[in-house]
Amino acid sequence: MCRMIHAEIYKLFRTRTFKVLCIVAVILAIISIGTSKIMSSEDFFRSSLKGMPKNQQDQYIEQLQKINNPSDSKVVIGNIGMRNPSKDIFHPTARELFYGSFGSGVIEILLSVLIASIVAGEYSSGTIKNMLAYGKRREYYYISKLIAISIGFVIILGIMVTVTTVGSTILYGWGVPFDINQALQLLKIFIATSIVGLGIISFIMLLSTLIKSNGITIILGVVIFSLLPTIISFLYGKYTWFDKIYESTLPYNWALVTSVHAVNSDILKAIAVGIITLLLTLSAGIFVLKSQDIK
Amino acid sequence: MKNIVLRTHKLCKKYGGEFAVNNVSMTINKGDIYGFIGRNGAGKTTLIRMITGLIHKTSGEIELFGCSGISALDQSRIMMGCVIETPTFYNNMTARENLEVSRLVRNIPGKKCIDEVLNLVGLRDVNKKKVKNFSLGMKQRLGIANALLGNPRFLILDEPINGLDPVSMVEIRELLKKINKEKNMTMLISSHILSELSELATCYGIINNGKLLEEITSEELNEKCKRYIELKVSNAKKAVVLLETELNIKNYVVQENNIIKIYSHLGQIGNINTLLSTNQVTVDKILSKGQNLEEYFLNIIGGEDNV
Repeated sequence: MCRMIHAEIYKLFRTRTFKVLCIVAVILAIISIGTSKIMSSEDFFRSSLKGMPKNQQDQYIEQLQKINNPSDSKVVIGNIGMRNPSKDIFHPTARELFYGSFGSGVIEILLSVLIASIVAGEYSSGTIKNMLAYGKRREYYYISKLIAISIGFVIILGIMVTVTTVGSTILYGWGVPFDINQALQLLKIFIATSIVGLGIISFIMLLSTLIKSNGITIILGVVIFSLLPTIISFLYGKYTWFDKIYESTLPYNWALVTSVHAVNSDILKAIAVGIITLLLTLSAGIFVLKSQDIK
Repeated sequence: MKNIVLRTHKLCKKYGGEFAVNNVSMTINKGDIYGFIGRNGAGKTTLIRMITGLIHKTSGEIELFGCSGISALDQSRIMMGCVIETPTFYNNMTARENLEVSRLVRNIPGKKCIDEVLNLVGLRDVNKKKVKNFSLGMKQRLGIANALLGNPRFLILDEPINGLDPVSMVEIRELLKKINKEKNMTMLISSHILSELSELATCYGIINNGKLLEEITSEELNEKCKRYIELKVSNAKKAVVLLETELNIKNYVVQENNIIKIYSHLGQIGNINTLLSTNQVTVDKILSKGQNLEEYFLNIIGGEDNV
């Protein structure tokens, strides 16, 4: 099992897709910092609203502030991407941008690409034969892949979060005095997010094992974790039953755990959803793989 | 008693309602080079995939190195090396990196074995070249190198010489012969190139429509395929005397019903016929008989298809 994990990690660091995704993560982080810098410039807004009278400009900017952070809600339903959750968009802090840097709905796209390459890619290239033809237990193979992908995911997420946080700290400062509790809070959020991420990885791995196609894995990953939650979010708040289901989904819990306003119970709930999804989809994935004929 | 490396008993694989492999019972002994012959879709690769554990059997038994049962079989598969159909690798990695992955997966200690197998198949000079830039022949060699990694006791090669140029074919054939001889490595080789297989194999299995039609050793095959002239004459005793004295024919056998089989003078059918006719021995039938592996295979397959 250890040797298989070693082999999967060896492959991960030599996969072009992983290297490209690391570069994409850096670019996304830089874009996130750049966007927050532009958005934080009141002069930039006022210059783009030149034709408007001053009081209308003030109203518009006030509305923008409200839209960005409606009534301090934990999760902005339907909001995807690397957000700027600052209370005052003209004075963001690195602490706030840290929460926005987890890229809800974006990291899932990157994950889908990574999993398509590592799981479905083995089927489409036929290399899975070399892995399974020597009496290796299929559950070991599957778990090794899950571990390797999780390591890749933590690295990509780490790059996104670290580059954004360090960059924005240089630009805006942390916002509050930085102490050991702050550091532990960051670590707690990162670990909790990684656990929810494990659930997402395991879910996409199951899809990939079932459909064995790189392209379809990416499409389904994007649809299920990025587009669908946004599209159906208009139903949120209209039906209680729908809200309950929606709040148990991985995309919602990803957004919840990376919310500035999340409390410990929210984080624990998100972790529980992540772990339950992980266990269910891991078992299903192993079952599917074990019953497959490898052609 | 011979050491049996692989034995299958009534092995079946069904896809939908169709048998891809139907009741195959085959035996491969230690040190054998087993030539596995069959048309496309005959069931060769399906059988090989079952042996390697890539696909599940519908029914029947597989015994590898004396082990059957799921976990014992998995344990014994560690002693195998295989190339199944076209060798597949991680295209963005070098040959060495691909073999390193394989070494890790198969739990083979030490990296020295990678250089050994690369040297063995003549790929030692492709250090930084990625597999995506390899020719088909180079990929085949790398596939064989991968299979040979860690000195397996049983080598399974599915179409190993596909895509190789004639020189490489000879090199690979000689390499396999050498390994078989020096390491007493048992091999199962399936190939469409029967002339190549006949240079290598010590026994054969012929499969058609999922059924194993015949298992035969190369000695038995040579005996069956030996070319000879078959005669049916009115007086065998007189004919034999004439053949010995007039044409100096010594290598022959006389069978029932005045049938004579002559294993020499194959190009002298006309002379033999004239000699016997002019000496009042009636020749009822005179035929040149015997086959090569290709003809023998076609004959067997044809017979099966006509059933």
